[in-house]
Amino acid sequence: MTSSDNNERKALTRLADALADDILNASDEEILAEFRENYGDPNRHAIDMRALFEKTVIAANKGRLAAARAGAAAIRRPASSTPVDIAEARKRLRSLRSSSSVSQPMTLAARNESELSDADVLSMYENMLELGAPPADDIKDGKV
Amino acid sequence: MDLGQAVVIRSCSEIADAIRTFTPADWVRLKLTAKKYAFRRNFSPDDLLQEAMRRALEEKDGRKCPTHIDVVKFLAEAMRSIADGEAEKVENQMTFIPVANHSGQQDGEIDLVDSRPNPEETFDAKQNEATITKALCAPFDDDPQAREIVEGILAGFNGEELRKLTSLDKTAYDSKRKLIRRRIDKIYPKDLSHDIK
Repeated sequence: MTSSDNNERKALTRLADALADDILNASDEEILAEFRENYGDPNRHAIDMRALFEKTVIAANKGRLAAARAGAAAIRRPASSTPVDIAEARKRLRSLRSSSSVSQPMTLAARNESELSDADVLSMYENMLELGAPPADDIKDGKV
Repeated sequence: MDLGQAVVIRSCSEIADAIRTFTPADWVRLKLTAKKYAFRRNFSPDDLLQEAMRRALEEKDGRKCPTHIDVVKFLAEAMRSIADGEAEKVENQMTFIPVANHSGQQDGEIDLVDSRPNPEETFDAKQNEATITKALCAPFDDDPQAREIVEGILAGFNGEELRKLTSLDKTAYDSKRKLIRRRIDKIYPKDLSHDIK
């Protein structure tokens, strides 16, 4: 960057400011006549600009939705990202299997816990936590 | 506005409602303003206008529009600020220069690169600045007062100073300003700077 780049930018901004100021303060008739002369039909232009605006609204709404989703995911994440001891998870799965509080019959996969991989056990354990089963730590601490 | 009065901010939906009621003249004002602020920038006037509207509709970190400010003027100011900010960002971009590992250099010794523009770069930048000023003033070679006004604006004089400088009364000065705007628009209908070579 040179100071000359800066001078050039400042000079152009000053000119743009002066011209924009004149544009904003010109009468409707004057500004419409100028536009018609150099660019075409202002009504057609207004239709295009309204379409551009509606596109912007959709993009802004999508951005808001994505931010809301990211926020919700960030709230959920800590529960599932707590390190889980695999032995504890297997024990908890076994205890749930034998627990009388489980009213729904367990799936075949859950019943054969000893044949499941660690990844499957962890995934099943997390699913159970999401369904409301108390975590292994709470049981150990006597909270449940 | 009374200074003691609390500033009431328009909600995003109020801004959107106001934009939906814009007349063709309002859209023309915004488009022409966008063209002015897109001078020598790497974005189109439509992109600039769209970005200003997007920021106005952002609930969290968006630009705040007080109810006493006209939404057209608010968007024009947003475009000005975005364009200036983007240009500044480009100017401040760091240039990464690979530093060669010279043999015989001690550990911890750093090769400092002189970031000051060399005389050739300074000359090029000055030439560039002069080219732009010349190109902007050229359409007014036949009108010394209009030329003086353009040169004065580029140099940072305000309206009152320019009027005194050119010895024009308010009406004559306003009509010169209109002539300047119309002539620049005619000569550079798309984007002023991209046409300057």
